[in-house]
Amino acid sequence: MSRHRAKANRWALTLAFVGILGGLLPSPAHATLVNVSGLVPKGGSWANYNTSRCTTGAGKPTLEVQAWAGDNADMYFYIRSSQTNLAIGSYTSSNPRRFPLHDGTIRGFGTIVVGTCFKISARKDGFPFASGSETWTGLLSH
Amino acid sequence: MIRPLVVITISLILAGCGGEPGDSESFQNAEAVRAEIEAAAADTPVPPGTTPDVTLNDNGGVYEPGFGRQLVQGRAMCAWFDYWLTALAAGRSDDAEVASVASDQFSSWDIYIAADSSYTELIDGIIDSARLGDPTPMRQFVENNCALT
Repeated sequence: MSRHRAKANRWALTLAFVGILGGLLPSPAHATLVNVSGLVPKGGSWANYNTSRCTTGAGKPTLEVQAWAGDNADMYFYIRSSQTNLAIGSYTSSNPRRFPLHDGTIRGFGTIVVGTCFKISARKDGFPFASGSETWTGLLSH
Repeated sequence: MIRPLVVITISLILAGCGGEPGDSESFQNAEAVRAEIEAAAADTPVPPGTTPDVTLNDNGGVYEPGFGRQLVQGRAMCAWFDYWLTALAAGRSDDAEVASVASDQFSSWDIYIAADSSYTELIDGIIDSARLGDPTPMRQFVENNCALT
């Protein structure tokens, strides 16, 4: 590969990733990216993540999540207090927020109490042959 | 110049599709979490005379490794804050000082290390305020995050 072509490829890769990140990470003021590194496992079990985030600002903090439910299964999320493990916000394990198959719409989890730390629980549901897992990202605004 | 376009196209397709192969094997079951809780409870300091209630309400879930330890540490932090607030309300400055000294350890706990700045700044701010004579943020934290009901 010539030096020019290698350089062009590096630029192309950089531009591609910048474009991807730009699309994934809107950056309004006073916002924290909530990017759980875990994956949503197959099998329908609730997956509980260590990763904790807190609402530190005043006003009315909100959490919005964007996820892409591929692999023949919807995804479901709810958030829990980091300290008590109990559901907070508007959703629970029996009434989770649904992310339908092949739908990348940003969905809100409502207003969260200021000073609250939360983790997230997620599961996949759908066809029994669903396989693979999904990552998700969210934005905590306050 | 075709190859760069191919790279961009493939990258965008991959980004749009999601659904990469899973790694559900990295999760653990409730039994493993309970073992973590037991181990963490043995080496996590709690206020004198207290035994924080750390139970896992499992509904057949899977858990990231470390979940149990962070659950214990979160409860222990709540217990220390509650001990601190009670001491301040009762005018027991020695007990408040014990809690203040204990809180110096929080930054070495997994629950603190693994968190981002939104968590660490909140915890640091709560402790700093209490040491400066304003326990209000600590009380709000306990009310928002520590009630088991």
